[in-house]
Amino acid sequence: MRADWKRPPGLVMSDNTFDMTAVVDAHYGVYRFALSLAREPADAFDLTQEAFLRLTENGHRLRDVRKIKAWLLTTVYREFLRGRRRDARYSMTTLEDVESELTDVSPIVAEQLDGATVLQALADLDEVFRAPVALFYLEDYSYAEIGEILGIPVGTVMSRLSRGKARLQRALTQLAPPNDAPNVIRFPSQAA
Amino acid sequence: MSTMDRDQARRILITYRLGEAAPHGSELAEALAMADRDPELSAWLEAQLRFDRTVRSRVRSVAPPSHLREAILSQPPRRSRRPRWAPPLGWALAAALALMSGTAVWLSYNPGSDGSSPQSASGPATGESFRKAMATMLTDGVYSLQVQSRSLEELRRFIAANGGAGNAAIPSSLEALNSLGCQVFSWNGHQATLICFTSSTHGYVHLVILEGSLPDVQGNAPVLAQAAGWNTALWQESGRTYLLCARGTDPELHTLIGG
Repeated sequence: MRADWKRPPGLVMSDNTFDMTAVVDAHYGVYRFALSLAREPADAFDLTQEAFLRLTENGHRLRDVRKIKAWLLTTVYREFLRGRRRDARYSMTTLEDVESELTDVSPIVAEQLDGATVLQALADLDEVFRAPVALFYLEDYSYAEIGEILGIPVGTVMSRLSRGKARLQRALTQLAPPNDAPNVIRFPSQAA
Repeated sequence: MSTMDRDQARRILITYRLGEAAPHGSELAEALAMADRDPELSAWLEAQLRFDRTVRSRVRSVAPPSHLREAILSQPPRRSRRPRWAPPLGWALAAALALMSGTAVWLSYNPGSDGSSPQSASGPATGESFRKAMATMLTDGVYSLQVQSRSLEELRRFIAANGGAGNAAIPSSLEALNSLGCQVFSWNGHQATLICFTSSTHGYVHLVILEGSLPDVQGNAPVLAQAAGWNTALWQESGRTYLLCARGTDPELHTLIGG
């Protein structure tokens, strides 16, 4: 590694370089987002590495240190999509295919599951829903910021988020032990 | 009169985050008001929020592989390229000339300016106006570190040579962090020094030292307050005013200050 590579991005300094150690320490948790997209830990590992590598190559365009994480997340997402486009098996579920999916949810469903299981359920969502839902839970970005990271309008974020979250709830309900979901809140019209 | 039914309210509320702004007259405000009136909808919303809290904590608990950090740090750049901010000499000269002319125009519209930062207070300088101005400056990113170094001593020498608080009493917890860089500037007629640090826990941590006392800053005990998205601590010591800006809780801020 070149010595002058270790400098903070976004700050124009005397030697124009990055402090990559600090940046990696602060942001290598973007791996979780990569895992939620790619499903496979090895692929998530590669995506995360690629994002940081691109940061070393292109991060000098960043002038605002607050944008580093969003930049990394955007890069992870774009790299993921690029890889998927190369994959002949790639297919995208369109929103038009999705019927109303609002479900009832037991608050204790997710409490019975560990982080890896919940993240795996998130990663199993259809691709259109996966990224907004992952950012909703993994990060504290506003809907506008999520839209910026994913390159989609806020309205689309909200739509995908609501449907994706409903699907996640359904998936987790199926994963949870059947006898442990008594607290489902139902409306009278939906009760059996 | 509301035209929203429960299903519509649920569609809106399913993405609601606790504490999210609900502007008056918005659909969200209407859906929340409906939940206030409707016990079943309220219970449903509470279940959603509890679900969100749980999922959020679960997925955030997943740790990246232990060797990922080292793998990232050990990968060499694929290629070397000249940074965009290091333009050819001609461009650099043109940029410098443009900056100078721009500054001249700015000064001509600001005849009373003493070259202060754009966050100079319009009224009398107070601790609170200092706190707010500096936090806003950091949030807006309208600062530019004049020198960068991981050596705090090197930064101190630069600061002293440029009329700043080179011998400032920096809390030892901050001295233990990696320094990033510094800037000496003027705020409301006071010489000010900004020193930036990085912390694996808090991200970027900023200390601003102002030469002189401000009327509403009493004693050495740090006064904590939120400002422009930062948690800040303001205190006075030996005729200087200190402001620490960091992300984190009050106890974490106290730890940084060394209290």
